[in-house]
Amino acid sequence: MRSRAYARYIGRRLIFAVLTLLGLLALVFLMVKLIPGDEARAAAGPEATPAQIEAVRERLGLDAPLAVQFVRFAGRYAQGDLGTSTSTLQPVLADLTAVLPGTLELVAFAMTLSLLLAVPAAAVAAARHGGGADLATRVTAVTLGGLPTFWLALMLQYIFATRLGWLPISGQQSFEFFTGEVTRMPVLDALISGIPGAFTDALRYILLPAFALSALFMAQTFRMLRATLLGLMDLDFICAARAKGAAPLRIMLRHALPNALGPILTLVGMQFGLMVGSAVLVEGIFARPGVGSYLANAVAQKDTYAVLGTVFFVGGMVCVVNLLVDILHLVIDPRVRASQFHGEAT
Amino acid sequence: MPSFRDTTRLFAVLTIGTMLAPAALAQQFDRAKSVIFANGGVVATLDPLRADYAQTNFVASTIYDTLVAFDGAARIAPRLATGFEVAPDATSVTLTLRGDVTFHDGTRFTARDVAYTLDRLKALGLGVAAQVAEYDRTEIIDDTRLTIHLSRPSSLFLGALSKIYILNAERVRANEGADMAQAWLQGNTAGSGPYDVTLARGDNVIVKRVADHWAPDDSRPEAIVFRRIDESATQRDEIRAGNVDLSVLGMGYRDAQELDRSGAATDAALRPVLQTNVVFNTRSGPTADPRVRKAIRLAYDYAGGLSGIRMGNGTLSNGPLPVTMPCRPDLPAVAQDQQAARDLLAEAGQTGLKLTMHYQPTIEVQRQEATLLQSNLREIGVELALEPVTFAAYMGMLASPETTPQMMLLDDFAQFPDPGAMLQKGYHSKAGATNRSAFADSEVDALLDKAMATGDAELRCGLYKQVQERIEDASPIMPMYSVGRPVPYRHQHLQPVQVSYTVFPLAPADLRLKD
Repeated sequence: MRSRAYARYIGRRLIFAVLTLLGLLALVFLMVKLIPGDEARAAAGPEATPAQIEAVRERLGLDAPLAVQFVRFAGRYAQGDLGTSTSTLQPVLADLTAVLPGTLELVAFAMTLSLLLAVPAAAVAAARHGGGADLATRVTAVTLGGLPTFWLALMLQYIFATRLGWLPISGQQSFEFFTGEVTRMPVLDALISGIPGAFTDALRYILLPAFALSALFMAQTFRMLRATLLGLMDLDFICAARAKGAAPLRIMLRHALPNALGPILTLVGMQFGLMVGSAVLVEGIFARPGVGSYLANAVAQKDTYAVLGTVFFVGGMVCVVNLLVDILHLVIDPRVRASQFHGEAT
Repeated sequence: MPSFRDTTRLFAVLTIGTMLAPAALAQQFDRAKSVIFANGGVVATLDPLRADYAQTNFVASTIYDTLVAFDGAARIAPRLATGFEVAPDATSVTLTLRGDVTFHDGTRFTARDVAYTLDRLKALGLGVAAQVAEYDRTEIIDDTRLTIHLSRPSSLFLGALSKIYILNAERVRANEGADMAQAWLQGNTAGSGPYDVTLARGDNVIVKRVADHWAPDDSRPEAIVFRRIDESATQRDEIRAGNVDLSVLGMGYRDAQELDRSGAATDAALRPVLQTNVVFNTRSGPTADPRVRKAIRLAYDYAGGLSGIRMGNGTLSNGPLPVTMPCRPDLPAVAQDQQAARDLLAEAGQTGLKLTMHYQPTIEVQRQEATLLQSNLREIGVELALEPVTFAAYMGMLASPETTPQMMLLDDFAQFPDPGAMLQKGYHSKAGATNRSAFADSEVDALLDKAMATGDAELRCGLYKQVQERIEDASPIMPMYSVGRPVPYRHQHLQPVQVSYTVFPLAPADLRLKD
């Protein structure tokens, strides 16, 4: 019975995800068409003759009515064809598989860094509520959360790379350590390559961008977790644990934190999409190729299929991540199970 | 399962290792014999078809050869073609080719490769195909001689061949697929140039010198690394740190000047065939009146803009074409005269005039120049609204005179240094959207048609001078200055860099290491 309930739940979520993606696709298609510019002219080049532009328009099917273009376009998507980029002349899917892993790796590092720093800080702040540590972490969080990502990235680059020379200014890897492209994630590829020094070299390159990207999200995570923990610390089950003589550390790790994970999981799911969006700024400053710079170039070039493919792909990933978060909620939190499977045996 | 203590130890080791990594770096890349070249923007493809994009052109120009080039005096010079002759009626070009050239895979270069390259461009009609739109067919005489026949007279065709990179026909044909090898050439090469690609990863492309190029030169760098760095500040810091040797696209005037002053690099301040203009809509709205256009021209503080915004990197314009272009008439330089501007507006009956100018907000100097013009026009009673626009969107607006912007601030450059290359596309009434001011003058059309139909260089030059005088009088554009490009390069590592007239603004294959 439980597995059937799970399957029904996941099925419902999947249908919502597909509908969300369809809506996203239609919306972005219309938005791209509304952006001023002529796709055929952009594809043919700035000095193309009128005859050449018309030939490109016909070849790309841009002479058809908008509705026909959308139906053709959605039909191709249903077959897994995201179209061909007019600026790279490559299938959009191939372009994305080349640029997306780099961004995903950066986001993964930023997310990990965010959780590694925010969770212990929030636990300490909640445990020492009103004390010096609480104040210090709150001030730090407010400051980090208030700094624009773009500015923070420039400052980190200037201080730790340009002035102090501790870390590289920009890029993904030193040219001495260019490794093969197994996953297209520079740090992971460096690890796989087994070249001595390549892994630490790639790590050095990702530290500053990952920190710059994580700062805002770190502050959000800290504040939400701290508030949740403070709310929990006054609840009966915590008082009972305290009355039984449990050490504060044990109370925090065994009783409070696990119960505070729900909202954090939701937040992480939301942060994933936002981080991919924010990556464009960080990638630009640290000269890291990624989906952000690909999308920015596509918009500037009026490269419709590249814009749509990227938004669809990233949107799909956000849907999948949120679905996973929902399932995780279900697995780890009996209260969520109870509310979702109300009336069913769980 | 590792304990918390083990995990902490591993984390500490990784952190310390990360900080100490430079000491342990193994040198697998000979930095001393290489050049690292930074640019903003993406190298979308290695297909030389798209060499109309500067980023692709940089890389393609190292991998491929052209039939002809332009020398420092903007004269056509031989490359793969040692001899060339334009028919008197400019309907064909006869070429004699080098017989000692091989492609990187060892295949011999012949006239068939030229025919294949031009046929492919004609079929695809994209990118640099616009430069050779008059191409009809190639008549191969033998391996080293051919005649290119044109669909209509074009005295520009021979010069335009300096933009066409010759493909190894056999190799490309073998990988043609359904798209005439566009996908294949995106990441593969088929050239005969001094370099070949060894790595194209993400935003980095590395080309290495080939051993048996037909024009060997050991002072060329062994490798050129093309790095994408969009931010000017990042480019500047990487040059200062010695991690990048020069940068062009994306480098700001102030950052280049700062590098030059600090001694970390020298700003070559190259002078390509480039001019900053405001393009007027000459067909509709208030700017259809030449007196309004002339009044606007007289309002701008040219000297202030050049010294304060372009940091003195350029020359005040004196005509519709950049001062670095040959065949220019002797016209007066632009100058501010606000009283004359007010008089012209009064004569045109324009009071309380409101105009709109589009500009590209991503180009920092354009934002500043637009603001300066806005301020200058306010001084003569004209309100100028500024509208940001992307270049792709601007091209879309050129579909008709009704949608063409009233005014557009643009840096315009010549694909090759022939006045016809800018005049024909920019001012012939039948040129289509490349005539960005929608300019129409039957006399100009007749002069341009006559110039296109003659192989006589001296006659063409005279005709082009007449065209420029008529354009100057009609004022479809407001020429501001022939601008230089800031190109800071590490003089400790590189010999002084030179401008190129076909690879904007310098050809990476021309870079030479310091002894």
